[in-house]
Amino acid sequence: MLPNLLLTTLLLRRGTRLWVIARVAISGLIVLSGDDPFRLPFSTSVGVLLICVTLGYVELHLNHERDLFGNLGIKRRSVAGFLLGPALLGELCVRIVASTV
Amino acid sequence: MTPLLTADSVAKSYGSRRILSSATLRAEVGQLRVLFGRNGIGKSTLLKIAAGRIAPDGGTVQFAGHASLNAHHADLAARGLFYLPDHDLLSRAYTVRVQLEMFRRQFDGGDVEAAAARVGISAHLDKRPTRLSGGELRRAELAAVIVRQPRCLLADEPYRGISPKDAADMTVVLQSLAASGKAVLITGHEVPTLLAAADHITWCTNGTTYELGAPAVAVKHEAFRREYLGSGWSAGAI
Repeated sequence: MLPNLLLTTLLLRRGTRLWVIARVAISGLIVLSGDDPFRLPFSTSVGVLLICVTLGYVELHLNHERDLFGNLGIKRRSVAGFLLGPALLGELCVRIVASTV
Repeated sequence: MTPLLTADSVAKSYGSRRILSSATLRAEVGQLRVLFGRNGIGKSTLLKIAAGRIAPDGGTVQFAGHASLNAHHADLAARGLFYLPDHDLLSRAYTVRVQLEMFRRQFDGGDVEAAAARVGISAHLDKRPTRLSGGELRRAELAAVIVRQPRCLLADEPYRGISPKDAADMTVVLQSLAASGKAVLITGHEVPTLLAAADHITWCTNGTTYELGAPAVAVKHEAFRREYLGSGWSAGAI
């Protein structure tokens, strides 16, 4: 079952927030190591995506949302998809911008 | 009548500890059923299996004509089941209003304001669950059930930690859900309240379940009286 517009908006907003947190943290570490945070290796970008999904599951657990989403007919893999979407889009945008600058 | 929900011959172990060996749970349309049993006997486990929250080691779950060896909560919920856990149904991240609205929009459910008014939480709609007392939180969860209007409600200890007034209000809501054609199945230890409210009693003990029937019949069951109700129980209390 797909989430309604309200749920979709809330999940995408959360996904975006988690990507920004993960990206800023990773970029900070990369700057400290003397590299360009906008030209990450592919594997690091995949790592950012995995961190986003992991943070999303941690937040789901901390907010006690498993039963809420279950009762709404939303499977956990759907939630993961909505958390992954903004991160995927964000990483693509960073790569496109970095390649044109 | 065919039950709307049947968890049949359910077995479940945690490590080497066998909780359920052959337990069966049924929810019937138009009935408020109560599952009794001592603490740690497997009531919550049985309810979670029936709701698709955890997988059984053996047995099947049949809901609305679909049988499954490994039912998933989200799939059952999409077909009309609502599982009310013993705590923390609502997210800490959003206000009560937003979460009730989620149910309304997802299932074309009932009016949020009307549901809140019915359980007396209108003043708390714009608060997050972390700012509500235990009783207010339970009523907010009940409002979610009212908005959702499920075909079947499985509620794990819905009376735990609430005042007698809230308990009486909850009984009215649960009975009205059953009267409107929903299948309601709850657990709890509030014996007088639950016996007075129930249409049917199921007893969970020693890894299995016994269908004791109507409360007036159930309280005459000798083993149920001896092992669960206790010697101090008086049938005149219902």
